[in-house]
Amino acid sequence: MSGLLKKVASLITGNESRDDAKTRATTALITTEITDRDLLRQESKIGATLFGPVPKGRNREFFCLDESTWIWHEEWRDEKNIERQTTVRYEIHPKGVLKVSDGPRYQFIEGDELANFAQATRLYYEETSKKIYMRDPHTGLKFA
Amino acid sequence: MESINREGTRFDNTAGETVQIDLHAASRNILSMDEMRAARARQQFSALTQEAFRAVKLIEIEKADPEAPVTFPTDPVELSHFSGQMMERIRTQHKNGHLGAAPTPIKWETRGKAA
Repeated sequence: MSGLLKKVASLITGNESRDDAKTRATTALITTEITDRDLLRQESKIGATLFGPVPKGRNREFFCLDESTWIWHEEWRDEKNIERQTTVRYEIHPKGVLKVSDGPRYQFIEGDELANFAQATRLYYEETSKKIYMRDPHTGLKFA
Repeated sequence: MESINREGTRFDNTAGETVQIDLHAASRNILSMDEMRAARARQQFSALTQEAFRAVKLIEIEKADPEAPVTFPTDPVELSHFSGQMMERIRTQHKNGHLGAAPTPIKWETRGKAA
């Protein structure tokens, strides 16, 4: 795969080769540049913990893509050691929160699921605000 | 060695090549004092305009009181949307250095009424 194609693929899928990741990490260290993706990664680490501890051997991501889209992604190996993954996209519409799962399946979430999701988004904002952006989530004031 | 001839139109450059200079063409590219003053004034005006726009934007942001306490909506759909807006706001602040005003929660009345 050519360099450009590789780069585009890594941007789309978020997968990087070890060399790419190493180069990126070194560059980031040198320039102390924080990209949008770095911020999303940091946010996602916090987001993953909002629904309780992540079981061993699972990789979970939960993050706010934009003001009306939230992403849940989970990867694990099943009992036959086959790699599995699922991605759920939550879209905020005037009519409700649309859950788009693999398949694709579409469904407006209701009841406890909706309430829990809404609380998770609020917690996500509060936690990332405090731990990543160093601001009080209620006043926006920067921590000393 | 460089040397300029008496008319000032030819010289030998360091590589030993003889270069002919079209003084008339060169003079056409030189700005007159008036033109230079006008160009400088245009630059200054452009810088001032940009500065003024920035100042107005800052005043707008400050007027909106970015430190006013945030009130979270209670409706779960409105809360989900509001949290997303707050995330966008804090990310923008992180990039631009200005927090901006808290978004106004959208009241969505359509949900549940059609059923």
